[in-house]
Amino acid sequence: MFRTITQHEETALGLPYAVILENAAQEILDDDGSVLGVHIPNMENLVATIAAVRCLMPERLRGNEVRFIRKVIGKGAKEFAEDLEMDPSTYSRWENEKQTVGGWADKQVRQMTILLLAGRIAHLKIDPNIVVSLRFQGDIMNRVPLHFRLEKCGNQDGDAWVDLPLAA
Amino acid sequence: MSDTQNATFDLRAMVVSGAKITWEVHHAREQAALRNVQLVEAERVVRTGTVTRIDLVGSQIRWRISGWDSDSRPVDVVVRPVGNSVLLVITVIRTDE
Repeated sequence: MFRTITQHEETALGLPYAVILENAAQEILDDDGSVLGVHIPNMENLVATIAAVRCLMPERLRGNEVRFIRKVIGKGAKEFAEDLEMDPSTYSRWENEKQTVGGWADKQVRQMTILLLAGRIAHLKIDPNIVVSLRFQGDIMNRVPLHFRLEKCGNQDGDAWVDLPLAA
Repeated sequence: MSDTQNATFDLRAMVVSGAKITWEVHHAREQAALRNVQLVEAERVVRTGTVTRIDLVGSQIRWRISGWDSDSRPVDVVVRPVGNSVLLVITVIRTDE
């Protein structure tokens, strides 16, 4: 038996903050009513949506967010560093938060993310100009947790995730 | 076919038919985080990996599914099939540690 959770706080996605999933995650119940586990529908679409939405926010990317994005894209650290024309050891220092991500590099990561995830985030209809003209400000930790919900997107892919400001 | 090949066939059939990959409430998530494996990476292993071991715990079957994370490091995900529609993730193991 399944039961939809009104607000599921997901902390294990690999991000340094929680993501709230509204009316979508499901508890799977045993015959005696005890909770066996939690199912997150369309996980691939969720993480791609989170990565894309994060790239539209003006707060600088943290190292562990870059790692999250890279893994969502599905590239290894060495390949990702090479795609960015970066020294892999510098890239490693980013991910391990031993070196902050500079503004120019941050934008490169965002532009690459929007390009590489385009097929998975078509439902968001993102204007790449938003990323290009972004001016960095603030700290993401002052904005979190981020909220997402699942919506019918009217194509063959079925339901897709959107963030709440975009959904409003 | 061997038992693990049969189980891999059953696993694929469940995945194709839309079985819900479900995370055991605490332990599985903690183990994934501890081993730096993101939930999405573990779910990719479940969808594309191969059953390499079958265990019987009480009356419950557990499949150990082997695959790789984004950095091509080996990752095993242990799941319990619940009926034909749920794959319950029990734990995540990095086999190169």
